[in-house]
Amino acid sequence: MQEIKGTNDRILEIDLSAKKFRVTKIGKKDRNMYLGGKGLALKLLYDRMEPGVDPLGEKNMIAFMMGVLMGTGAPCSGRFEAATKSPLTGIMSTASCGGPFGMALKTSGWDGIIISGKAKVPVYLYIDSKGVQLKPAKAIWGKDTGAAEAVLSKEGVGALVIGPAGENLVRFANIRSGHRFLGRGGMGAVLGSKNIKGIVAKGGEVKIVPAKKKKFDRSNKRFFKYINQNSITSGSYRYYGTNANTNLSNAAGILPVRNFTGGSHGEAHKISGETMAERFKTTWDTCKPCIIMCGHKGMIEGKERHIPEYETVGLLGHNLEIFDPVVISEWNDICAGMGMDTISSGGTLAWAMEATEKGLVKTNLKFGSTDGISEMLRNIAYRKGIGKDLALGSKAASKKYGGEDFAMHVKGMELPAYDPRGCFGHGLSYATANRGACHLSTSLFVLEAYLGMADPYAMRWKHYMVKFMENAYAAMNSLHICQFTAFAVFLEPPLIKLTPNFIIKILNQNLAPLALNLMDVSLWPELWHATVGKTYIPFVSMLKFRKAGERVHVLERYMNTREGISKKDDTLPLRLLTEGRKCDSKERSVPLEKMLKKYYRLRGYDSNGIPKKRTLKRLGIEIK
Amino acid sequence: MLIPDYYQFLIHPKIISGKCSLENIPSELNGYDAQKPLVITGKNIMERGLVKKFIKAFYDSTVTLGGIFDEVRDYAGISLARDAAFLYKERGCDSIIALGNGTVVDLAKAVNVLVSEKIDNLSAYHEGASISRQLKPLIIVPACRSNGMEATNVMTIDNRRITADFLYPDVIVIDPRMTPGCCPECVAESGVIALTHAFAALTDEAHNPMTAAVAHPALSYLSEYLPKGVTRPKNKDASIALANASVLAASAYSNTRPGMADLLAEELSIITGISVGKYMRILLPSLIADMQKKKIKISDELFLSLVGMEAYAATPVQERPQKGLDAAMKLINSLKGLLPKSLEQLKIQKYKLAEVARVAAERSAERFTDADCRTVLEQAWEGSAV
Repeated sequence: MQEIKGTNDRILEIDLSAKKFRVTKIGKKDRNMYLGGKGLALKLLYDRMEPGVDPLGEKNMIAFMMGVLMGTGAPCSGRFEAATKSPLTGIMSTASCGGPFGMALKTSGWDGIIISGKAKVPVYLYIDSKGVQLKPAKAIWGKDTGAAEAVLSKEGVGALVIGPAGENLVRFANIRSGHRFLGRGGMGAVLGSKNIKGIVAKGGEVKIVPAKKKKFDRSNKRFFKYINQNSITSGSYRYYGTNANTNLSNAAGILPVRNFTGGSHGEAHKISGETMAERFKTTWDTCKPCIIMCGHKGMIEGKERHIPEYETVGLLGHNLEIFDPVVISEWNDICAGMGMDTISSGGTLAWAMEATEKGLVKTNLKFGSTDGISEMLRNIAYRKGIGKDLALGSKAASKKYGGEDFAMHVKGMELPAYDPRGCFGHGLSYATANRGACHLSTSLFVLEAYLGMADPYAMRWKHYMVKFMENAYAAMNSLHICQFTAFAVFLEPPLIKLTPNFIIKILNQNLAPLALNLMDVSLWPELWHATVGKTYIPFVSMLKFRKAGERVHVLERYMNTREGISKKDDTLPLRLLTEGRKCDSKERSVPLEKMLKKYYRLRGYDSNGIPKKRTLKRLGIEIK
Repeated sequence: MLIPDYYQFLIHPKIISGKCSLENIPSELNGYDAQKPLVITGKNIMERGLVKKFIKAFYDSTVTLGGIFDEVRDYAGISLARDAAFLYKERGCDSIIALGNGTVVDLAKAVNVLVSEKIDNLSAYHEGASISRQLKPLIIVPACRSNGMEATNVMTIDNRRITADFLYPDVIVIDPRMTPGCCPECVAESGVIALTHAFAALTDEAHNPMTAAVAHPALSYLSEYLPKGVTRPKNKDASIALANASVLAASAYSNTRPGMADLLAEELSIITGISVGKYMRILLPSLIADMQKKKIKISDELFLSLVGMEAYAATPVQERPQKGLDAAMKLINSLKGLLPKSLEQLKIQKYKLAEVARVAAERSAERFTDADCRTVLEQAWEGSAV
């Protein structure tokens, strides 16, 4: 079997309209500047796509890009990224997934694929080391994701599939690979618009090894150690999944309740990760390779089911005032089968419930009631009745029916399950995240609300924290490694580990640049250099890694500003800016404006939020 | 002058304009047997100190302000209307004063419907029911940026438009103390909206002597004071003249059918959240250029209103309609760099135009076709007419 050191640097470009494909080599410069995964996907689309294209038109492209570390055996590295122009938001969107497709594609000898055009009839793509074949998908068109994937998986090691929601162009349709999803931004609708039901990669054709094995093994060992000693990665997430966040969010007052009108609830424990683990006797069901093992399955009402993630529990549970883990699991399965993002589905349902309550729409949905939700989820997927409008997301629905003041989205993307009125820095992060309301742009709520390492209500230095984390996460998503490893890499090195939390909090409060820059993130650049065979220079390589993250973030921002994004879009739903909550004695709202100004200055954007020419030049981004 | 076979025109709001107009409010309220108004206003009005000035006008009166609801921002929705209606009931108010423009007025009208009809949502009206009886007294005091709908029988709540004759305010009070200089962009936007409304009223095939009579002074004010207002926003004469122009244009607009520029601007505004004024500044020149190209016949009253009697009399009869369009184009282009010139400059994605055209054509009740709307939008996207 052919052996590849790190990356193969081959991209498969498929033009569906012309039924042609070509092989492109990734240049060394692009690889160094944008790593892989998210960064490279965005760069390749930036070079190929004009601004202003219809997200559901032939000219839109979708890229699937593998991580640099994928296949090397580094823990939690089985992830890949997709990037496209989102039909939900009308701007660039990226999503990450740990399903088997990534490993299959990389071990077929490809570092990524870019799809453009539109097939005349429904097809699926079969990819092996020689190239791609378009095969008729008539037999699986209309099937749910589970059934379609079962068929395609017979032809290769890993597949991507869309469900009925993607076929019907639901704006928040997702793409499935195994039990994992390219969840946000409506990537499933983009594939649906191109008449692609799925993509299957043969896999197992090449072997991937790190270029500098000894150095790689040494860093890898440290990585394993950190992950296995961190209380989140080897404790709460490993045993209770991401839904361990429910009790933490409830205690911190950032748990969205009743469409973000409340921040905690007495019944939240009923749907917490701890309760589900005990009640459903959960076991692991994770991405590969992974040692955190946050994905779980369990026996629910006699049926083996995937345990819902925290975001699903949040948006289909407490935010709708539903506290029954069995029905939430059922809805999770419906969304998975139909191929719909649970965050946007839940956020849109919450809007519909409140709009019904206020007489703006007529549905049978009601907060606290499970009636009609399963049916409505299917109606959204098949675009029936009012489901046709809800399938466009809460922003579009509220433009049509009213209720924009309680449509909980940023840039058209529905809010995840963390209320920023209890963590101001995370509020800034929601407003500035490139793809819309995204909890993975910084995950600052962890430092602010869970670990007590930053004052959640302070504004000072929050702009710096957001920028630092955005850059770090963009680099991680380009490397590409699971973001949960950040808990271990940030918090386990001795300097941080031995410092009491209250001192870190004081430092973050008053000297954030110093405190954050003391965080030792050298592990990631070490692994990167060892994988691709570059010489690791302490500190310098780390700075290069962080600069790559900054470059990726700013490039995405720049691409979005070419689509019309500016300061007017970097905002939060009116409710978060004007209304307080009863769980907060001071009834605080997010003081966004002050933080935003400082953030723009720090980022090198102008006062309207547009990256300045000198910022782009400094980062080596070509100005178009 | 031709006499139309049939027409109707409703003149409702009483207009009080000039120095110390605010001091008339108590007596106006007394006329409606009201003593305790709820004042609805916006955060920006409060921050600019206008509410304090407004309250001073009531020092020597028997009127007691029932409460001041100052939570209004850029969006008028039922949630906020319910909060204000709750305050109205809790304080035992009997009338409403809207201090501000745009969303403040929309919200005040919505609150008026909620408290008069004793309901907690507007679903019946969204579904087409009509408001069939007199509402509580509503007084509007315009301040700063207008959306042109203050004096109309229209309210836009939760992005949905409800029209009813009972939605006309009872009194509009234009006081120089409440219309201090806004930024030049705000003046330009308000002016462009008034111009678009008056233009629609005069160029609509179904216009009548009354719409012309009301639109005429609006256009005359705009022609004389809009260029002055944008260069010297603190000029009191210009502020008062433009506030009057807005009210008059809106009155004419209420009695006519919305024009293509109105429909397209509204739809674009809903989709993007950018104010209608910015779109009207781009769309009106494109519409005028299209009309000139198609040689659409319009009345010569537009020309008369914009250039005055002398120039009108000196122009041959057959040239007046075209010159009217030229004059309107000249006026809107005098705004120079204050507002964007093309939809492309506003970064409107071109693929969205088809849907905007479709919805606008649908709302025009077959007066405009999809293709007509597309032509104007595409020209506006390039900004070639500006």
